[in-house]
Amino acid sequence: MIEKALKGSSKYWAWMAFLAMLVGIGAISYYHQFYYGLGYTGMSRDVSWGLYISQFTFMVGVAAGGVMLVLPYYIHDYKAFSRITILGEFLAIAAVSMCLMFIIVDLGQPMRLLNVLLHPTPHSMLFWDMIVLNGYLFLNLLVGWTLVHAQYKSPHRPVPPPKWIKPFIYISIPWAVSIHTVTAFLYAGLPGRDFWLTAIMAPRFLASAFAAGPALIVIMALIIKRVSKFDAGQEAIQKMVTIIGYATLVNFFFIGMEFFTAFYSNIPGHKATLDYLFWGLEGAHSLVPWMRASMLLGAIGVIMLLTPKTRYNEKTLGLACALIFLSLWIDKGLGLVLGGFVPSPTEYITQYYPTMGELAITIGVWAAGFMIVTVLYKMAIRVRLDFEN
Amino acid sequence: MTLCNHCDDPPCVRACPTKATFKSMDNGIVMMDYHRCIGCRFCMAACPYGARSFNWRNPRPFIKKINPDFPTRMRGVVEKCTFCAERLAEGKIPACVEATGDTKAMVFGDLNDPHSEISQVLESTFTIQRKPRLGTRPSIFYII
Repeated sequence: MIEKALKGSSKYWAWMAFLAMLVGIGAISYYHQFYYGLGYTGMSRDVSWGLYISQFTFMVGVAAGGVMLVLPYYIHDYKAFSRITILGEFLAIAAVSMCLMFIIVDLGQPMRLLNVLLHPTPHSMLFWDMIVLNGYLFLNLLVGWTLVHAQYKSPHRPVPPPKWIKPFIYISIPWAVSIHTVTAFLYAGLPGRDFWLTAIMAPRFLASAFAAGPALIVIMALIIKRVSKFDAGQEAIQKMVTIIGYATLVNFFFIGMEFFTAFYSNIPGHKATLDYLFWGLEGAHSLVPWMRASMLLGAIGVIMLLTPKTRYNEKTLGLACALIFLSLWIDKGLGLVLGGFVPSPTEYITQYYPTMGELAITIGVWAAGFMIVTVLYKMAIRVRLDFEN
Repeated sequence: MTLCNHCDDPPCVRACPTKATFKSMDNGIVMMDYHRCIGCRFCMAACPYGARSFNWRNPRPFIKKINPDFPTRMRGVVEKCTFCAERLAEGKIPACVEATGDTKAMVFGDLNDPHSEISQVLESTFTIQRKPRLGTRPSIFYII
């Protein structure tokens, strides 16, 4: 089946070559980091997690977001999603792969990675995150591959998915919720970090995931429609837009609740990080433009999704989804993780700036993720189009 | 590096995915196996006291005199104050306490032994712990 991804236009190969180049630059940078240590990055004693872990956190959300296609189709028999659930499942494979890569490049001693299995420690949330992420990767590989492969084997008549796969599909739905809940628990269970110590962390993670994941799928579906004959269909796209709109609004509502609790209670520890993120704290304000941009882009995106004129025009729809994706990426892929370290437990304010090498590694992992999703989508769409013709 | 509070219920131990950091069964000291640590730095996020540090690069070129009694140091792992566990094993007291000499600025001993010097000091002096509200029950008391 993989041979379907080995035939493509020159544009396809140019895109893959471009991604391979970024992966290569990232790999060379990682080689340097591997032999020098994490001092290669901009992280420090006070900001001990940087871009790698913040990207990891964001990508868990993108992976979980695919369930917004799987659930309506398999639980509510929502037929319009029948052709595109595979986009959610294959996106999850690429996103979880990126998560694992981000974890590995963040480890100080990556060669000892298997210690997590050799010395299983159930009281550590990282242990559970390892289980749910790898489990989710396995489920999506199994389900996605089985569904596409069934079609591949029978290109002339429709085949229902094999019966044995159904339980795995149903398990994958709560499992998607679990990956983002456990990832939120990495932060929400730490006693000394007021910004993260909030029961709304997991719900907020899920809301942003259910907006960011489908937003990316809509963007990719619109691109696929331009570069191939595969059309996700107006109804499916518009249903996803509704989901994205609500999820984004819920996400902003949750952020508003964080503001209320912090500023009405007036407890300095709870206000400090929000101050740092949105107004600056004692002269430190490296993330302020980003966070304000995040709010603005998110607001514009939601308004565009709610306005029929921009919602039903593919170009403006794509733009709106891109704005929302960018907004959520800044909110969770930068502010949430990096902000939590400011101020430090000893009340120092240390700002974090990633180094060039760190950026190269981060971009390399993103490019690797795009390569995976391109190959998988190419394969799935080729099989689908062969059948439909 | 900050003094570790050697919590009775340490959040760093809870966070560690490999048990590289653990509470000693013998004396309750929060210990660290530098050679099991994978360098994920979850403990650094978990510690409410900023007591943990990470070797962002190889520390060996910076060591002027090698101490063969201390586990060999390396990059990519978290380090912490262990109350000089390797000295305690030989019946000595932690280096920082020894450095204060007879000033009694620092007192070290067994909190569970009511007759120990530290227990006497806690009885007779006003002391505070850092962030007691977090329920970590630090074993470090600051004499006021």
